[in-house]
Amino acid sequence: MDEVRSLFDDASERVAVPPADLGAVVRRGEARRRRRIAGRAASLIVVALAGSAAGLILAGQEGSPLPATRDEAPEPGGRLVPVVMSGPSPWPELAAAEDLAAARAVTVAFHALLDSATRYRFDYRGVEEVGGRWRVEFVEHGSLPPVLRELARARAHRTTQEAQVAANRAELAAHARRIRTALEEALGTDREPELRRSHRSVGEEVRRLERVAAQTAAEIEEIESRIRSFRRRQPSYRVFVTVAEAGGRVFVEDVTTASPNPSIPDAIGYAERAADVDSWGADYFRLAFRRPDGRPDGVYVFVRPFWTGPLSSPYEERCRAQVTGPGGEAVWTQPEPHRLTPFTSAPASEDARDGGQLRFGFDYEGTVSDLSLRMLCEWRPRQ
Amino acid sequence: MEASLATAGVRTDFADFYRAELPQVYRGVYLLTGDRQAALDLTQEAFARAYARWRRLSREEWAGGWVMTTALNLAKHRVRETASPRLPEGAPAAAPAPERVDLVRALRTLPFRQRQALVLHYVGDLHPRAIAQAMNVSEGTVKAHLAQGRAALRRKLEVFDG
Repeated sequence: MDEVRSLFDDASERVAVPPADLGAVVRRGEARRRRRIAGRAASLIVVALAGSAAGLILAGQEGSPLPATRDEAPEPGGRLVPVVMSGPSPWPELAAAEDLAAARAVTVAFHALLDSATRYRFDYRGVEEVGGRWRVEFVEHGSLPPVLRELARARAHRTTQEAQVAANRAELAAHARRIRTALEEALGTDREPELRRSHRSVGEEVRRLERVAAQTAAEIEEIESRIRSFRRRQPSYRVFVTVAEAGGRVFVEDVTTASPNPSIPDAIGYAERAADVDSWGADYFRLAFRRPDGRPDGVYVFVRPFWTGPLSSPYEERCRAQVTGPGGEAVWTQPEPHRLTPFTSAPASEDARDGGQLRFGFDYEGTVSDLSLRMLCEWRPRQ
Repeated sequence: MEASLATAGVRTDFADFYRAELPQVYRGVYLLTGDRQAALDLTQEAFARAYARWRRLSREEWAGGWVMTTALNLAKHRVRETASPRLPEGAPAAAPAPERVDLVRALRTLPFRQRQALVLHYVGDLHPRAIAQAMNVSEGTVKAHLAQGRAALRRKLEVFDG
């Protein structure tokens, strides 16, 4: 051990240390400090994702430890940062929080899920710094909103039907009373058979309406049963998004579903290229999908550009995805480059967003977490 | 400069801290990257981050270790981004001691966590407990990294045989 130390000592002593440049450090540090203050202010905008724009707003904890970025050494003690988000896109507010890594991590993770949020609901559960990365946890409510919409329609239908049945029954009852009165008056006359047939038909109509109401109620019960069944599965249906930072860029590193049976179409929606606030498009991000037991589950990539530059940018971006293995070897290369359509941080039309998406998938038998995705992009003047 | 620091509300002892820790941090990063320019840039970035959080760091005994670890974490990304690792600039021309080049070469073949632990221990002079805190792992893991790193260095350098 002493010999190792002497080797290090010797090597260290032979490294010529450049002169101290406190001015450069302070200038750089001041810039960071200003962003940090902005980040602290932004932390007060901590918002809640409650599945709707009218989400819960929680105040940030002033004086709580500011989380480190991925490159910064974690401070002893660890922490669970209370960052909750709300609204369709809190990104503009949090984009300035460069040093507020937790908030940014949640934002990035949120954006990774945003596309699916139109069909699915994610309840934010927490963000935790684990081994220098931010692990953001959501609970996915899957296809609950469509089911709820279906239930709402069914309930409305039931209300209409029940009201109609009630009205019809009242009308038919009144009609039956009139027939009965007429029948009593017509007993022994030629009109008696006809009035009796009318009375039976009224009874049949009442029974028919009751059958319709019962059928509607059965349909509603079936839908409610599906919802109850879905809700019973909720505790195991979780999504973990790991967010990392490198070279000043934040990217989604890993998306893992804890669902017992994550569906491929759902998984595709989880991953997208994370926001890169400093430039037009990160070169790459690493993405891995695993089953809860750690087995690979194929590779699915979903790319959506997040442009912070002006919409009137004179450039267009064309990217070709390439997946490389642990040794850097190409595993899969996208045959043709894909033009990514920019959109702003303002709500974009579905068409525009779809135009900016790049999806692909392929089979891979190895360890998916070893894969890297590289986006080979080029920018050309817009035609 | 001092006025700037005072204006910023940051304690002026940052300057003393910076001057005291600079050599160790720079040397540690240089041993990992073998690139003077990168070492200078990463060292400066690590100190800039320390400056930005100096109010809190200045109260901590592990401030030096924090800067060292942060610099090494930054170096990790720089190493990853560099397609082909470079040996120390000017090494052949400067005819450095063979053991220095060998050490740098041998270090660069080790997993980063082992390298990080070795440099924090031997260059940063941190106790395994402090390294564990800085690396956010258990002390046992750090000791394992150190033991494995030393063993690997022995094999690679072949200077400890016998």
